[in-house]
Amino acid sequence: MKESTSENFDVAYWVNTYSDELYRYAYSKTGDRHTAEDLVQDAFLGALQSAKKGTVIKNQKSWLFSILRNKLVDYYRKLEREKKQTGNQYSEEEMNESAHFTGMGMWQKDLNNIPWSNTESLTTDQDFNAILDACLTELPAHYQMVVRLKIMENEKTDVICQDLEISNANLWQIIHRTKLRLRACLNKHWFQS
Amino acid sequence: MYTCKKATALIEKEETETHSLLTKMRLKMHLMMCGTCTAYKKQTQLLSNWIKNKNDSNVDVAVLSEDSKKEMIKKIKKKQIDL
Repeated sequence: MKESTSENFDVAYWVNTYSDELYRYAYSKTGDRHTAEDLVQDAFLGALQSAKKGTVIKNQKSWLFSILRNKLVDYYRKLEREKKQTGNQYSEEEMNESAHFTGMGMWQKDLNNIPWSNTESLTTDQDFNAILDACLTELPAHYQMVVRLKIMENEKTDVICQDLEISNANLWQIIHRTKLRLRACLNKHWFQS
Repeated sequence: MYTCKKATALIEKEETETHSLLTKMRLKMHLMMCGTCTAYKKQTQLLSNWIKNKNDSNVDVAVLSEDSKKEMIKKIKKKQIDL
């Protein structure tokens, strides 16, 4: 395996050899093609920078992955810090458990007792999946990231907490709030009608 | 006695973590008496399954287009000069 220094840093070779694997990883951890592409590019630039400083690299691939992982963590933390809100997303108040429970911690009546019937066929139901997608995109960005990492990617709890710089209690609160919100969203837009 | 708010939070955690024996018993007691939380337990599992199913199956085979790669090489080379 050839060693990399700034002299033999062949950008085209690196991109052609490693970009797909790096991209797949970034895509699976963000769920967004553009973000993934940007992160991969940032990782290459980071690699270039450290190669310029004279860092000698033994295993190019794992070195690139470790840089990409750092870029990903930066991205997560930015999401968590900014708690970015666009027009259609729920506010923190709407995400709060108190939107679903009384002060005594009992269920609020209205939308909570709707039975879910015929659930077996829903996985392949296009209309249902469109509603579920809409419900998911209404979650604030950092909630969506937790959904992706915890539920879709089945990432370990302590890894998520570390990457997102949140406490374990905070992570479980986000999951709980997310599920309550999604359930209410599906009740309203699917199961009620 | 757990409130429904507490019980549903524990149900979430139960999907991947293990509760103490006492917590398990108290949660079971609550579920025996609470139809809405019992339904919630089933519903939240369904939700998890549906969300997992959403994980784009294309992720495993996703590739950057040749154009994207060329563009990326160009951008990196441009910035390389500035470094």
